[in-house]
Amino acid sequence: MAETDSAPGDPERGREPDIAMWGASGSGKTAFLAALSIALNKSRDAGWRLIGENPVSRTELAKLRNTLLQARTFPAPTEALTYYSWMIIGPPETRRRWWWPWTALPAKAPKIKLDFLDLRGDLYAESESNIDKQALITSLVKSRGLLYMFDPDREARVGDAFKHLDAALHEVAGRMLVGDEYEDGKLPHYIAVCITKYDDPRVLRIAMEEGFTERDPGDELRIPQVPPDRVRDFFRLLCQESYDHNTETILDLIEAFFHKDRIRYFVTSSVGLFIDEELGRFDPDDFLNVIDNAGGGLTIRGAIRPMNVMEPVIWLGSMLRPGAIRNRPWNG
Amino acid sequence: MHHFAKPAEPAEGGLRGELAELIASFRERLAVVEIDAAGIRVFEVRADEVGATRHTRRASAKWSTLTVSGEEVVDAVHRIARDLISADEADPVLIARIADGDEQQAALRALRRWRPSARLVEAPGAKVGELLGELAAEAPLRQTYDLIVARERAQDGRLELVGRRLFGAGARPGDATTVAVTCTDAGGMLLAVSAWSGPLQPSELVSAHHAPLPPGRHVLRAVLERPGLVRFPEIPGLQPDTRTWEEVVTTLPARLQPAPGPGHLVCAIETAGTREEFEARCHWAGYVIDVLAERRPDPQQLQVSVVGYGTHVYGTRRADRSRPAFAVWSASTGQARAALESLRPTTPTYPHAAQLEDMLAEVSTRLLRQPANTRTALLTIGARPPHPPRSGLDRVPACPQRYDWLALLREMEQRHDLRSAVICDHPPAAPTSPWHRLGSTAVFRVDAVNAEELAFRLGLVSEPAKALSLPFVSQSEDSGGRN
Ligand SMILES: Nc1nc2c(ncn2[C@@H]2O[C@H](COP(=O)(O)OP(=O)(O)O)[C@@H](O)[C@H]2O)c(=O)[nH]1
Ligand SMILES: [Mg+2]
Repeated sequence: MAETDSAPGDPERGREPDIAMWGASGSGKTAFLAALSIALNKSRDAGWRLIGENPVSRTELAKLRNTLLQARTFPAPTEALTYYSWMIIGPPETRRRWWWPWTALPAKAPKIKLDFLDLRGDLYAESESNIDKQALITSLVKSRGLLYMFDPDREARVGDAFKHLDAALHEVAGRMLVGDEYEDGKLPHYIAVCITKYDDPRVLRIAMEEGFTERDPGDELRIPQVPPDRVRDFFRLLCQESYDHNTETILDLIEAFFHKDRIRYFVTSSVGLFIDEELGRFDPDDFLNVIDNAGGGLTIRGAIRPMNVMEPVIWLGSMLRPGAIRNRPWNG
Repeated sequence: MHHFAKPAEPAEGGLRGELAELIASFRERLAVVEIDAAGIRVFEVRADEVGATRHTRRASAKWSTLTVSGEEVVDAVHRIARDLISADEADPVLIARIADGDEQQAALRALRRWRPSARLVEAPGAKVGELLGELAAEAPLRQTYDLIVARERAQDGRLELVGRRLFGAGARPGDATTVAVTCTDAGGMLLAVSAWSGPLQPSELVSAHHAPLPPGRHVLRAVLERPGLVRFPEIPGLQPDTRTWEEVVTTLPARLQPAPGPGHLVCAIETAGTREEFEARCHWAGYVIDVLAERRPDPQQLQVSVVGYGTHVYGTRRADRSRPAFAVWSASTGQARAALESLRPTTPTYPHAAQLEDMLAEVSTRLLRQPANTRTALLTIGARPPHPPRSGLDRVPACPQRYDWLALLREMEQRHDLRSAVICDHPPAAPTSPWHRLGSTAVFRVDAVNAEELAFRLGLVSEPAKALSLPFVSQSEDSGGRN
């Protein structure tokens, strides 16, 4: 990962959020957050944890996690603006100076501050400005990392992602690019474009049928994955399947507003694919993990295995706090 | 009833015998001339279309009236004979002389002049008009009387009408016979008697009566009351049928529904849902079973199975192993009715599909042990379609056993010639809904079921509308009929 000198990791930014999140309503933002805490707690070797910065955020975090893990369903749709003030804390690292490798500096845990404004995604398309919208735009302007959630199923049915993204980007650009600070005319953010709900048959089937999936030979569960270098093409394909013609140009829109090397595409699922425990591996005939239940709601059928949920966050973190992330070239 | 005529017999002399013989043997017409003390009467005897003998008095004149214009008796009688008595030698003429005298002699001469072959019988004291009436009723049958029955044509099974012989020509009043026929309609049958004047002559209906007999084989006793009247004394409630024969014929089916052979109805009922939903489904299962019990009372011929199935359970650690519940297999309608009562509603554990495919798998296995040539019908009553063998874009999870409902259905259709009908809680919305395929024989909504129609379409009962109203005889039974 190329380190750039415009990385906004300067300590003066203090309590400003590092990462902001947006996407259409129902695109899976809340579920993603819930899954993020599960994913981070699951990956023992990574040693990362998600904690709430204040009591309210801590309670919210526990609630989200419980909904997924205990109630085995999705958090209720976000009806009002909700602030989550969270922090991802990495494993304490012994830092060494490359020129004096035999003495270690005191251990220091990397911290990435997540401020998530979870709100109804259709705010962007509303013409009159309101408080929610302004709060969100402010959060996007202040942050330097963006999680952009793209829901292919919603796009195939409703097709309003372009409208939302277009409106939001122009708002943010209008506030940031008028001055001289960003002379190249691009927004300074790192953006993780997350295709959500990969487990949904309408997403996974396209991926498999169009030949985008591969199996990791080391994966016992043999889950089909879209390799990182093909995700951008997969995203483009999904955009073409959209209900709205404009969606086809979302990729161009993103690349017009952001530095190409600060964009990364991820295929994510908050709940993962269903794996029959007796079979012990992925079954292309039976991978449905989210099913309608008799009560009119949704039930998560099997184990929750979030896919690529912490990866975009850690990638953003590594870009924003280059010194604090383990996977530096000299750390292996 | 002829008793009172007996004392007159000596007076009638040979007249009765002569006349009876002529009535039995004349072809076109017979002229009988009565000459008594007062005058002359001319009778004409003919047979009607159905062979009944009828006589009419053509002329009656007193001697005094005949001569009033100055004409001689002989001329007057000759004129009457010429006008009223056939000149054809094939039409016999009989003269009954009751009294004798000049006028009588003159009349006889005149008649002989017109028809020299006319036979003279002396019959003092006889009353020819009365005697003719008596003799007509006692006359032997001039034609053949048949009961009209339907028979399946050997080459193609289409129905054709033929006659079963009741009485041949020459049969006498009082003769009785029996004929074996089958009533195929619960409404009884029409007993139509036709007369045949010769093997190729068109028939005339002697009589047509509706006989309220139950379906099945009947041996009918017919009695020839007199020519033109056949009675079936052992059938109560006979009613004359006033329709024309053309009207009767248009109601006849082109072919008889093959009497349904052994049948097996499998009633599969989805138990998942509210009590009301469940009971509505059971209601129709029971209704169809009742229709079958009524229409097909022979327990050897019809078997019924009842199976209840619910919804699969998802979200448990182990795959769902719940199975359809077979309340009864290959039982009588009565047992099936009782088994139906043993089913209980279940709480749906999944909303959009039920374990219908598991039911098909189990039914398919059980049907393997069933003897061939059993008309097998599946009636599925429920709300939810089957689970697919693999989950698709509609987000319905695959059957835990991976049963393929369509493959199972096809296999049963091919192996057992299965007919499959459905009664759905709601009309299947999508044209691709499995209900359409499962209901390839019939799809009914639970609030609009025609149970009789359903049983018919499933091939378990014969068509109710086009019943055969005539007696039926099978090819093997049919002998001596003609057409
Ligand atoms: N299959 C599947 N459905 C998801 C996933 N994430 C979210 N959803 C569905 O999308 C709905 C909306 O998600 P939510 O997180 O509330 O969206 P938000 O409005 O962006 O916060 C949820 O209720 C789920 O039905 C996922 O990972 N897989
Ligand atoms: Mg939400």
